[in-house]
Amino acid sequence: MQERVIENWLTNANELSFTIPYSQVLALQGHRILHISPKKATLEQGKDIISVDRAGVVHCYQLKGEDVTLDRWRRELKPEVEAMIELPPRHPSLRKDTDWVCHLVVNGEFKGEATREIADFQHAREASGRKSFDTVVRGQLLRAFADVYGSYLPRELDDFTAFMDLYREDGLEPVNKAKLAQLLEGFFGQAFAEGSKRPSRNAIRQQINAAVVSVSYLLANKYRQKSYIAALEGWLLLLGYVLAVAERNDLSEKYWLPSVRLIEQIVDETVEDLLGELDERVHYAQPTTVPYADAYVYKARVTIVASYLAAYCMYRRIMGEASSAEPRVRAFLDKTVDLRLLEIKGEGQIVLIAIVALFYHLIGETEQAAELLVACVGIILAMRDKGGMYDPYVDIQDIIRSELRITLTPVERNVRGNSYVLLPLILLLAHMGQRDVLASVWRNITHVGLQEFKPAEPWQWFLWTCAHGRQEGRFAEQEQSWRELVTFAHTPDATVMPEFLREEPCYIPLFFCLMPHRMSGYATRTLIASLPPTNK
Amino acid sequence: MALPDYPSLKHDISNYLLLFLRAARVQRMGPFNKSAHVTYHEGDTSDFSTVDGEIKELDTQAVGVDEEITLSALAYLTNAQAIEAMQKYGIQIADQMTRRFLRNLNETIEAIGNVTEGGGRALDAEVLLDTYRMIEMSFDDDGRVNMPDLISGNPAASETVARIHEDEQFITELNALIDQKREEWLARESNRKLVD
Repeated sequence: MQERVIENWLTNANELSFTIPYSQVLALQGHRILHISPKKATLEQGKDIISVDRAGVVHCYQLKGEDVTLDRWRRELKPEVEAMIELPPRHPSLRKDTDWVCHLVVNGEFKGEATREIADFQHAREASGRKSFDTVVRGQLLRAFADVYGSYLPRELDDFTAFMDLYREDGLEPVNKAKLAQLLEGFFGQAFAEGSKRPSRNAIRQQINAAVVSVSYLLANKYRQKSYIAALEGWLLLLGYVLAVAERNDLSEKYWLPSVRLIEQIVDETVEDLLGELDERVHYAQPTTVPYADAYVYKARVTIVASYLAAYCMYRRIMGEASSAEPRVRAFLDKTVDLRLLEIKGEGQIVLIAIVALFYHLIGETEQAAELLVACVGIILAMRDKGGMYDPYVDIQDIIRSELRITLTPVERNVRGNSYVLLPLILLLAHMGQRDVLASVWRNITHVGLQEFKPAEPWQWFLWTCAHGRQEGRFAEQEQSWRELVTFAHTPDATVMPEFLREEPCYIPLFFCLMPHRMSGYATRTLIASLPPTNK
Repeated sequence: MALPDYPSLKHDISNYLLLFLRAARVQRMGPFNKSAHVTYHEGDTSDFSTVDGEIKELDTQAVGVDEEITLSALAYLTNAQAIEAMQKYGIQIADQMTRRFLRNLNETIEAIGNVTEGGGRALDAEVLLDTYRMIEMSFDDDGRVNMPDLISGNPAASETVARIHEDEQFITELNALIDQKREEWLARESNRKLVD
């Protein structure tokens, strides 16, 4: 059954969705992955993957989806294969005179005359003493994938059903984060368990590797539909669970860092692909049978895209390498702000807009940043007397369905006189020096209960929801010292946040987008303390 | 279960019926719907701070209904009867929640001595004014008073209160009281500020 599942996936996968699993197969065979480029083969001299094997030999891989006919070989593949063979791989960790071995990997078969012509091409090159390449086709891939992760697929029927539900999800649907989180918790169940029944470190490493492959498998439809935000969310959720497992089991880097680096590379590529799509658009509508339906989700779509792009740029800045994509992201954000395309329906969207605001602040546009944050604070305070807000745990789709009354399970405005996100907004405004703004609303702020959830153990912060932990409700000080507030805003948390995020806070903005309910006061302080200097 | 079960359809019907339960609960809760509230999604412990800054552990309590159903009678249950049952459960749940609210409220006001005893007197203008004098009133940003909600076990009380509120003498005294309360409120609110 599992082999049939793998075969089904492989048959339907394009190169976008099997590049990552194939990288993982290579990693499990002992290769060190230097580069993954699932999308831009032609820009990378025909090399989708560059790796170094245990013997130090450099391998370059060109991956192609579907069967290869003679016409396709001549028109599409041959020029790229020639580029792969002729042009040396370029990577900072490779010497200029590095030798390399080339592979053409196809998840289909060579059809008809293509088989002979490719073989002739290989022989001709070898006969003339030139570098050639070998081929890997569907049958070989199937064996490789089945050997590596067949046994890691969900084995229990419940898990398997959930796995298949996620796999079959329409590529254009957002990834079901709660369901994927549940699946990952089951997958890593023993590694999270209490007591001494936890698996060995090597077994956990294998689980992590297999989880990367499984998530890649689950995201196949998202890649097929070029649903980049959904793909991004799938990978980030996995990143969180990998880090949770690592911290829970006190693993040294060698057990988990390769997978994290792989996910980072995927995130880079996915953002680049997303920006490529945005560059081609004059609007952001995606009309379906009844085009008017898109009006109800248009701004929700733009808001989440804007937030992820801002979070990505912050992630790169905090890491110490500003992204070359920043000007394009800035242009997109300016457009969304100018055209009033950002929308708040609940506290979840306030988190998304706060991230956009913080990015504006980082690039020196503090006035714009403060304007966005003030709007968010204003909505929370205004809604205190008007029925309250939807908290950040509530999914935007549930809000829209409820407001249109097209659901049998409507969600309620479930925070009133309280807020999960007001404290983070206060801290961000304090960080930006917006004393007058805060002073003008402080009286109203003190009437709102500031809610914050603290997991029982720091590693649980990465989980979608935690069974153990403490919910705290506090009021702001009625008479608050501005100086103390600013100091507090810049004091990183020392106990609640996972150690990994305290050391590498660059990921925090991305996790806020993924899980808006994790934007608490202590997490925001940790982020603020890590921010690089603002552009002047 | 070997017989046809229609689980997906029954899931939808359950959600449909629960809509009636929820609506009945909300309606029954009356003024308590306006109180501050928050939903907890995670964790196993919680606390909150009072307006005075005291941290208190939150004591949660389950609410629910216990009803026996004759399964064979389900064959004859109509939609109207099912809805009626749901509404009844909604009211029962609301009453449990209301009782809990009132018990907490009573414990709190008794602890701080903020209780007016009618001393056997009927509800009249003086009792009402005494009650209003005892409590803090809040005002909106334009200075308009948020009149407190009155809850009574006596069904006739709302008519009595409405009649009292038509009395000119009462209105004059109440307005004076509200002006005084507004001053107190402004003094309290002026302490809520950012300082150096």
